[in-house]
Amino acid sequence: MQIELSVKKKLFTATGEFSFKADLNIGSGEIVAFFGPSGVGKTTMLRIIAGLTDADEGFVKVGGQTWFDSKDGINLPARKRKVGFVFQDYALFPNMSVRENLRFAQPRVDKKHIDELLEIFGLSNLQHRKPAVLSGGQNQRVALARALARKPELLLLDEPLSALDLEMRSTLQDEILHIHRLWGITTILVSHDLPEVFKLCNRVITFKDGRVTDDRNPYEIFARNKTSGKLQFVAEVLKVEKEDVVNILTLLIGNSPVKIAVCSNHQESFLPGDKALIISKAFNPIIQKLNSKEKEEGGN
Amino acid sequence: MTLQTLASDYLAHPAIGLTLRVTLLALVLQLLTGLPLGLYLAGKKSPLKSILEIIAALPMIFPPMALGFFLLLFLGKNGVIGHLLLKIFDLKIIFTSWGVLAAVYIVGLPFMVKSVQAARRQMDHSLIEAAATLGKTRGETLLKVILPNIKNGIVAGLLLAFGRSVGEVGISLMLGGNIIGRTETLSLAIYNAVFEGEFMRAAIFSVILSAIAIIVLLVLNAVSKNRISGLSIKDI
Repeated sequence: MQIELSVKKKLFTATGEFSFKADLNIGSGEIVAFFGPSGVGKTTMLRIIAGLTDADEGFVKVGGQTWFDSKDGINLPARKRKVGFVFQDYALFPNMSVRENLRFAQPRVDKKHIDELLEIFGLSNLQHRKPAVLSGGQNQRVALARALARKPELLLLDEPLSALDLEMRSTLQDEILHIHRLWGITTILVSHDLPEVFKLCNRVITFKDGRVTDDRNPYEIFARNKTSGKLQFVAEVLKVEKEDVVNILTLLIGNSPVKIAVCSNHQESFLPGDKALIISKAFNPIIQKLNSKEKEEGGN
Repeated sequence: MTLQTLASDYLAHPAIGLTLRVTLLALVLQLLTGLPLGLYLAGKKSPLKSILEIIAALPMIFPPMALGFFLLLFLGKNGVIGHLLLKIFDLKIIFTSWGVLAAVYIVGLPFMVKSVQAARRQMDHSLIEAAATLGKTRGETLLKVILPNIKNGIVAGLLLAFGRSVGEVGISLMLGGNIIGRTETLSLAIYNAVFEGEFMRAAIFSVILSAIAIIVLLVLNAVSKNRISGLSIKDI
């Protein structure tokens, strides 16, 4: 579903009051990131779309239908907006089992769809357990499956993976991509994690001080300095060790830590936690197939 | 004392029937009124809520004798409410078992309201937002999400309310009149027995009253699946 919106809202945060303003147009089937530091209004934006927070003025249109319009006094209640919302803290119903959480999300019970979702997220064996006995990653899967159970027109993910360890995060990112390929639901992801945005999204909308400051595809943002490199990776600096004339950087690319030596007089100094772009020029890559996509998709 | 006299003088004593009838009926009324009131008061603050909150908490902190006296004025046949009830329903409250019911209901209600209010406030608000994004109405959310998740608070409220109601003396004395055979509750029966110097009688009534309180406590606790720690039958 296509989203068109233009909203204004006064926000009260720890740093004071500021006004938030955004005009956006998100195409049907896109997977978009709302990117930026905490407290800039990314989550508020998502909540405005879902109807959990009211904008002060403006409009929200989804698939040609007006969900909110301050001029005409239209404000569709959250329950009538067909969104799948994944909360940062999961917000699973503790009194219901995994399966009941999914069933509760459906207006009419669609057993087949529930079974399919449980299968996709590897939850079939856990379906009768309560959320309290599941791990963070498992709970996040339940939250995703529940958000999809009512077959939403939009999937809104509010920093869904921020509480998980790197490996679990990567697995779930793959699952989100798989879901997106499968159903093509327009998806918005709030995130402040660069590699995640890089991996999942084809468009990054950057927020700063209550405004959209950048709206591009992730490659353009990360490869700001034009390079002729053919292979590029976004990495996170884990460790910096000084050794004589060189610094040894331990970098995390995807799930693999890699050690790279850089000159200690390199003009940019790196600190653990920094994001880095690795470009390799003279390179003779060997490509091996790990799994066959065609077979996987042919089965669906 | 033979078993027969124990049975006829004590176990069949009208005070037991009255206490059971009145406290259990009050418990039902406390649930029916305290639950919605507690849920309402847990919402966003407003002037009306602040006033209601003070009124609801009043019986908890107000001296029972003074409260009993004011209620006597209100509910008596010349009082505002008492006069209306007498005129419309031909219902006499003072010195009848209705008076005792009013007394035990009023003293226990704040515990129910406060427990529900606290449980609702502690509940994760995102659960309600999640239910809304899943297309659920407020009614469905109340039944399937809110009530199951504050169940422990409801049970704790009922326990506290019952505990307070079953031990109530001051206001039931004022409103009920402590009339032997009619408005004498078990608590009052103990008081009367001690007053007359019959310590054995007071001891037996005390044991019966304690037994009732413990049974109700265990039953309520068994109803709540997610038990209050330390109070479960399994723990005993």
